[in-house]
Amino acid sequence: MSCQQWHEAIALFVDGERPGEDLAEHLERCDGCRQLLRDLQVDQAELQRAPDIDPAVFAAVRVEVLGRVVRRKIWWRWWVAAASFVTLLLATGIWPRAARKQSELIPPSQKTPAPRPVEKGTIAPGSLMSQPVRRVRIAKRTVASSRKSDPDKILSEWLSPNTRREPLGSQSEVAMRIQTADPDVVILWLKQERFQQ
Amino acid sequence: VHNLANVGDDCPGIQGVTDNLVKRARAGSVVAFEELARRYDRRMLALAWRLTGRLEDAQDVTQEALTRLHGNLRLFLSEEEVAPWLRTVTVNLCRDIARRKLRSPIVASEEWVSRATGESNPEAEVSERQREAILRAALQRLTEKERTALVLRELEGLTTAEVARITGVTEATVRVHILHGRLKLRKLLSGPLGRVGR
Repeated sequence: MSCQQWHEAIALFVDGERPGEDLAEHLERCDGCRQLLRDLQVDQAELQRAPDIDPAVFAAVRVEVLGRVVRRKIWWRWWVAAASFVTLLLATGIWPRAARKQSELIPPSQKTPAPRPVEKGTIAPGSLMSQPVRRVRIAKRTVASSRKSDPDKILSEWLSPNTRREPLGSQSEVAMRIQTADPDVVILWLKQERFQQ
Repeated sequence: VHNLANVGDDCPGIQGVTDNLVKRARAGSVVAFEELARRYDRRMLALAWRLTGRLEDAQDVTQEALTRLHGNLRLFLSEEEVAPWLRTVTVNLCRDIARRKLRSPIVASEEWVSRATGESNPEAEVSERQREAILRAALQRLTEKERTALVLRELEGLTTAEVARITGVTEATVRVHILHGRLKLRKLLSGPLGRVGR
């Protein structure tokens, strides 16, 4: 076994990972390996000794950490308070009411413009999706008397001057027939506007 | 031996006090957390200083580790769980710094290593503080794995199994890292330091 191999054995012995019986015999004969053992033991003692650190450094570390902790706590409290406030507003209905009032304050000129009148066979942009359900119901009620399943008949009846109207003044009707991709599904859009005289 | 492995262990009743501290800190007591930080900052700072080689980096690591401890207090029921957790976080943060250093090595270490290898006046008295600086600089010359294994074994007094758990390698690999680290360190420290510093 060469000295190089003994060096590894000595390092393992210092680390407590190897018994030292066979090592002793070699160390008696080899000055270099004996010196290495001493040096490694001194290194070990130095490594085990905690470095001398100025107490001011610990204090600085603690101050910084506590500062972060306190800042985090403050932020956390602010978030909780803000979330609670918003929840309270939503729960009591103050916010939705305020939002509604705000929309009422908007002058008519700034409000969304009324949909353009549509004619039979044409579709106003966004008209199908933006039509309030309430108006469709009025139209349905008007044609309910016929109860016909043929959409073309409903349309012609709707547009016929003979159809019975409620005498509420002048009125205008718009009807639209929309054929979907499914031949069995036809959408009728019937609109009646009445003007009180 | 003045290592930090048994800090607090010789004080009877400290376990219960610390457990109480953990509980109070978890409940939101800043005073309790400060006391908890006081118990561990020395240990963490020493470990980080040896691993990073720079006091500024060690301070950053310790601050970050302790801040993370505060954010994760709910994980701990007793002090027994705090120390290993803090140690693992500290080692991981030091590893991140070591990886960054690979891209920009520190020039200051070179100065101390050159002193250790005989380029400075060998007759000058080497103070304990200087020896410590030379030791840290020499440790920086080891690979990150060798340094971590050796420091955890010697400064923290951990077993091979504990070092393996923290570093995420097998026990056999830890033994190899410690063996190579020890012999390399000796090579780096041999010279005037061996004659003057001791």
